[in-house]
Amino acid sequence: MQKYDAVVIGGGHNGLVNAAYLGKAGLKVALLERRPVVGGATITEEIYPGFKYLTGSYLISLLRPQVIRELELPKHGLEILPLESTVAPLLDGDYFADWPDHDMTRQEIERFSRKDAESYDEFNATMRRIVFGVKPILDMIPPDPTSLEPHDLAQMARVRGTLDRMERRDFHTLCRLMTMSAADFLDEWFETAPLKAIKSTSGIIGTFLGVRSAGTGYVLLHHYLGELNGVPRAWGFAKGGTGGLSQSIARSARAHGVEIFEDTPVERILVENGRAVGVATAKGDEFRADRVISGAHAHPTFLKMMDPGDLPEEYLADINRWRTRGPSCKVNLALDGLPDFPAIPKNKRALLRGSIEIAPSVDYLEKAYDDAKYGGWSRRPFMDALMPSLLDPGMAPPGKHIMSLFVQYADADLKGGWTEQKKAEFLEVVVDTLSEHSPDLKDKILHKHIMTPDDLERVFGLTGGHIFHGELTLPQLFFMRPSPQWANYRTPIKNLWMCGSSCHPGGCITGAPGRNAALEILSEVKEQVPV
Amino acid sequence: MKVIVAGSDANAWACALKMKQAGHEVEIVTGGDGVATLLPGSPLSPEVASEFALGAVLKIVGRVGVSPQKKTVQLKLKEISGEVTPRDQERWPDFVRVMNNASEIWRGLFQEKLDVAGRWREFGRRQAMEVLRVPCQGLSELLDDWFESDLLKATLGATALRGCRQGPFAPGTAFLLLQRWARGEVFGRSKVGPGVLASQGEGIRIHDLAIESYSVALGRIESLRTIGGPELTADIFVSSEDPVTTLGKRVGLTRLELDTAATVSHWDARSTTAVARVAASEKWGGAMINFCSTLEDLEKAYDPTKYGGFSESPFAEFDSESGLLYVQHLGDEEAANKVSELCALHELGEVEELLLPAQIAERYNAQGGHLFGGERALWQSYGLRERLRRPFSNFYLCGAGTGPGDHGGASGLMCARCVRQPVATS
Repeated sequence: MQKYDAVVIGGGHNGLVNAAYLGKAGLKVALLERRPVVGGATITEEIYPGFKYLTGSYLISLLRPQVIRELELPKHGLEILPLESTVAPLLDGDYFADWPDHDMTRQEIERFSRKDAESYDEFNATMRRIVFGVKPILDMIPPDPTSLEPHDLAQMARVRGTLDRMERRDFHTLCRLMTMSAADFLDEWFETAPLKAIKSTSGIIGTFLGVRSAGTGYVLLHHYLGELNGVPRAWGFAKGGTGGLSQSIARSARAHGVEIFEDTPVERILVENGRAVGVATAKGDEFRADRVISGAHAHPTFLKMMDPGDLPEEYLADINRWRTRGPSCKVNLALDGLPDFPAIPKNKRALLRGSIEIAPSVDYLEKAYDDAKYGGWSRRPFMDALMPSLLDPGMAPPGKHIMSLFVQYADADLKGGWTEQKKAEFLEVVVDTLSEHSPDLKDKILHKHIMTPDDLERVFGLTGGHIFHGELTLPQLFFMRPSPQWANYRTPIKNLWMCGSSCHPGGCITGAPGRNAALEILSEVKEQVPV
Repeated sequence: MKVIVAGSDANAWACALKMKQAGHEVEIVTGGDGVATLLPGSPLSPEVASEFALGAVLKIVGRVGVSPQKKTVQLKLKEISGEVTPRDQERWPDFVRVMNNASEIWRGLFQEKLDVAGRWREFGRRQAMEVLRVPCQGLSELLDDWFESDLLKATLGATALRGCRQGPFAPGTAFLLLQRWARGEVFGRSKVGPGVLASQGEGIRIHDLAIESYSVALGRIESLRTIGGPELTADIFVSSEDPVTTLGKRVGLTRLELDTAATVSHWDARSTTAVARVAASEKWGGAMINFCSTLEDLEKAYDPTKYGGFSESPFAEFDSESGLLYVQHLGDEEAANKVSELCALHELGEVEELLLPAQIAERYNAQGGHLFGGERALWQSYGLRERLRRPFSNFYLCGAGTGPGDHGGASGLMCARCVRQPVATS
């Protein structure tokens, strides 16, 4: 039996990042992945021969630049191709396009409203300032605000200092953005309906709330916190799919001495005398370690891999009341050629290389939420479609294409449960809705595949299929994520740590929880080693 | 200094009395009946009661939730009974503790000389965080965490949502329950009205006149024009009318600073609450009643309003002492039928008068017909409201649309604390 300095549960991108940082610092690390290949929900899978499906995440923006730099990911094969545009075909046959470049989008808005084009200048400047002000918080270890311990007070002061640096007006806007709905916030700035629709979708991604629900303003902000090669709010596509990213982190981790065990599901976290001492795998092996770090969702970590009796009652109550009912599905289509979107003019076909959002109006999006929130699914879902094979030809055989669709809403707690039949029915709803915008799509489909919230849970271990490991709402953010006194990546079990999206700053491919947890662990290791 | 206070609710009076106490010459311009007259059950704030030594202003009457099937749940501070489970009953005292503590902190935020952070830490770590969670949560989130009984949850939900245009599934809606809880409105109703403040107003001159507009010059208010009365001048002007009526209508957006104008034009005061007058009912012993069934139905009643429509099956709060019925969410010609159906189902007798939001707006000069001067939501609360406290160097807002909100007088007191000698303009 081997003894490690650290054993990491789960080879999702955060688990990999965490292991790589610990390995880089000289710790002897084992990472155990349940599935045959690491990546978690950051994965590329060839489910239909020749076509590389994105069964989980599909775009990158929030990945912390420090992670890319410090783990030397480009050296280990990471190549990010910038996403050029987002376009929404509209119901009246027109379209609306949005580019990372401010002036191009401004021109587009001017087609609809001169007033909005002018507001857009101020809107973008305001968002930029707010994002700049808030972004440092992503890399902070959340303090306990009730504590008077020096390190908590110092950390609170740091948070306050960050916010104090903002202009008063921006701080007010931030407070409102954090508490109001994405649609209401955008209503204050703009009159162009398609512009508001396309912008408000950032507020509902992965979130079981409508664009008019209070709180979606924060989710919108969350999606503004990204950057790509120094370009704020730019999105990109990893060559080879998001699996290309997780493979590059895995290579970096291995280069730093991390031992990665695939096909090795952890069955139990071993707790002795209130301390985590290692894990037992389903195969019957034991990995003993000085510390155990779980990149898995909080629910399986505490409710499946542990004896709940080992946890303090209050902590267990927090985990049990954690909101993690997901609204998102992932659909992949193998296509025999490029589908046509008549709303997009022939001379603008380059827009197909970007995201295609089925989000024609705010009412459409809200209706999609209303349809689903009582245990159903959207009769006409919101979709974010991407044809990765246009960006990276290696994703599909020559002349063929794949389309990756992020789809909302479908209730994880579907009335009657997610049976095979229900699954097929919803897949039809998705294809039918998309066909309204692309009449020749159906004829080109060679194969289709759906991941419902139920599948996301079964395959990736995301309880409720929640892509962020739990809602990004105020009571589940920062020092409340996942439990008020335990937001600093520690848990009530000594030597058991968390490093996944269940921790601050939450979901999306950020690498931040993995990195923050690693830095916190390493600062503790340093304290323990006598100089 | 001469101070003119426009309005006649408890906020106007509390502010006027404080200014009078400070030795100023104070006049009140009532501006007719304010929207506060539609909330006779709403008690004076505890702060006001202690400031003016009013004694008990709250009468404990309890609250009853009644389902369409006539099942009931009785809520008292000490206990709950009726359609509740033993587990609900067991958890009730802990829930009350969290809500009371949260109320104390919320009210403390508006009081001088109170170390709110220190008091908050005294609750202990766990309780402190529970308190912090309350206003951030959705009503369904908060109530599902605590209770099992649908009717109990719906009753608390409907209580919170009265007068507001929000659905219980959205984060931040538990803040609405906190606000009513902090006022004592969940289990009590007013024992005395703003008249008790007026009776202390010796030496305050009252003009019972309607307000037309304010004239602005050199960044300050010069005078208040009344309808059919004199143009009144003063050193300081205070308005307890809602922010949009005061600043948008009476002053004019173009006269405001850009930031203030933006805040006013973004002010959310779209009400979908209809108020019906029916006979008072002794059957309930003066209690506040909620006609509702489940949280899901509260959300369903709210859904159509997002698309400009109104509830198919509305829920309501009934003040059995005054006979006022607050029905959510109505606003079109169907409303009369909906209210009659509700009254017939619950044997409330004939509807004597029905006021839709548009009529409330018209009759009581209330923007959007909103009962609280604007939506009581996180995104326009606390500091975000203070931006409208002093739009001009000699002009203050003290109504329900300012912090802490509501018509209990606390906003008036708060305003009086902010009033400063105006800077003389050359």
